[in-house]
Order: sequence, then C-alpha cells, then structure tokens
Amino acid sequence: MEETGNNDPVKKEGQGQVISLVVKDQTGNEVHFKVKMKTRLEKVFNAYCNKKGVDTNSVRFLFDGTRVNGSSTPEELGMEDGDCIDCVIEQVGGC
Amino acid sequence: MATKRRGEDAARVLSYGDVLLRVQDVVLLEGPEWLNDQIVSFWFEYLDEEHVAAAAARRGPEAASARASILLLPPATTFLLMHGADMAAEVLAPLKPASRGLVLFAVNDNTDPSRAAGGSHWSLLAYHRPSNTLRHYDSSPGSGNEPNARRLAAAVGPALAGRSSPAPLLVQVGAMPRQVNGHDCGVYVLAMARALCEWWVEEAAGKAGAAAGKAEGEGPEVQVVEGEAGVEEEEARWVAREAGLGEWLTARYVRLMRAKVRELIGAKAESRGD
Repeated sequence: MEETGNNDPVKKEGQGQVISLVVKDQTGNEVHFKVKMKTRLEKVFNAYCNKKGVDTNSVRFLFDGTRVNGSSTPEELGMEDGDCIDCVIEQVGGC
Repeated sequence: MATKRRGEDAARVLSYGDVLLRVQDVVLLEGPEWLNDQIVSFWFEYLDEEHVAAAAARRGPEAASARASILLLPPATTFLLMHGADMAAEVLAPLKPASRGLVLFAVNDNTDPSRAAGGSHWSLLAYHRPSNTLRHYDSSPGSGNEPNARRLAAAVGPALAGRSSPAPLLVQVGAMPRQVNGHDCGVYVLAMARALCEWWVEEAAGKAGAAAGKAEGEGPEVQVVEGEAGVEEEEARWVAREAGLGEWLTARYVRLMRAKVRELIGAKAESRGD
C-alpha cells in the first residue's frame, strides 16, 4: 500500500475523477481549484478562506443560486468541470 | 482565552439542509440582537421543508402543488442578485422562476459587497405572480431599504415576469406594521415570510376548491369568474389580507416569535443529537 506511482491509471480511477472549480466573489475575483468528485466542499471553502484571509463564518457559498453545505461533495451536487461557485459575504440587520 | 471563546462561538448547533447554525448565530435570537443571514436562511429552509409542506398537506392534495410554486431565496442569493444585476437571469434560471407564483427575498441594506457582516436593516420583498407585483414589506420604512428593494426589483423583475408579461410593479406595502425598537426587523421578516407562505397555500386551496365545485356543477352559489380571475381581483384579495396585518403582527407577537424560533432550533438540535 506504499505505492507512489501517481501515473497508475487504475489507482487514479479509484481516487475519483478530478474537476476544476472556480470560486468567484462579488467583486469578480476568481480562485481556481482542482477537486476530486468525492471531496467535501468544506475543504475547498477552507482553502479559499485561507487564501483570501477571511473568516469561514463570514462568507456563504452558492451554486446555481442555492446555498452549498460544506459537507456535500461535487458528485452529490452534480458539478462539472469548470463550474463556478459564488462567494457572498455575511449580512446582518436589526433596525 | 480569546481562542477558546472563539472556539465555543463557532461550535456547531444544527446542520439543517444547506444551513449550518453555530452558537454565534443562535445566540442572536436570545437577546435584543440583530439577526444575521444564517438565521434567515435557516427559517426560509424550514418554511419550505416543513411548515409549508405541512400547511399544504392539511388542506388536501389540491394545495400540495402550492408548495412547489413557492420559492424562498436565502439572503446570500438575494445579495448576489442585487449586486450582480447583469447576471440575475442566469442565477435565477436553475431555480425555475417562471414556475413560481410566490418568490420571497430577504433584502439587506448593505451596499458594499466586500464588507462582511455589513448592513443594518432587513426587509422582505415578495413577488406575487397573480398580480405581477413585487411587494415590499418593510417594518421600518424610514431606514432606507427602499432604494435597495428598488435595485433588487430592477434586477429580478424581468426574469420573474417572463417574456410575456411586463416588468412587475414595485409596491410599498403601507399596511406593514412598524417595529417599535432598533433590533427586531429581522424577526418581522421571519414572521412576514411565514404569513405570506400561509396566505399562498390558503389561496391555492381556495381556488382548487372553487374549481372543483365548478367541475362538479355543485350549485350556483359557487362563483367562478370565466377563465383566470382578473389581476385586479387577485391583488385586491392579497391587499385585503395585508390590511389585517396590524391586528396580529404586533410587537408582542414578534417578541414571542423570536423565542419560538430559538426553541425550534434547540429542539431540532436536540432531536438530532448534534
């Protein structure tokens, strides 16, 4: 199980297909990610927030206008290569 | 110490649909605090998943389709629509706007999409297809959310109305009760959203009942206007419901509602063992 041969096609298939996703914020800035279909999107969100230096709780992510829960995977949401996730900031209000 | 407290605040309370509520979100319901978009998102999800479904089921199979014709858009989506007007149609398209009769938007007054936790006021904008109007329910009309509602209406109006209808008219609902403090606007939005969903289901059940009566030819007392009811009549019925808002949507109701939503989240978290 210590195999390091990344080029082994069988193993690659076993790991799941890799797609690229774009996370886009409202100012139009884009960050590109390569993700496996079975990877929880939480990991993408955390990586994005780290890169941007923002608190993960201060942003929301949307796919096709619907909120994305970090525990779901690209496979579950039917994402395809090149799909775009929108990033929107937290909002508050009272008065 | 600081990190520990932050850790506690960030602790998960409830994962519900697409919304993950943390301690820092739920505490907003406990005191006279402003609500954030997480709470509003949870409530919209709850209304769609449980409340409307139950209300429709109670009223029989005719009202069941009413549920599918309601679209509750979370504040994050609304914010995206407001500040990216050029892509509103594209964002809305997967949500099938043309098949929805009632579409609710929680409007926030933050105008800067780069400022997190921005904003100070919530109001509710509802698209009512039978009258082709966008109705703005604002518990504090002086707070300046009108331009934001106008902006959102301009962005989503054409996509909602479709090609065959003119862009919907924006109506400021004058009968909307006013909040009496500086922290409850979010709760008014929650209460109003629930009321509108209930009205919609009632209207659908009423229409289905009338149509069934007509089909069976049961007595002349069932009056059905030829074809679809007129736009004016549809709007008049909705306006009549709005006129009654002051009777029940009071400061006391809102205060109790805040506690009830808090209890609901607590009960759900407990039953799931989170």
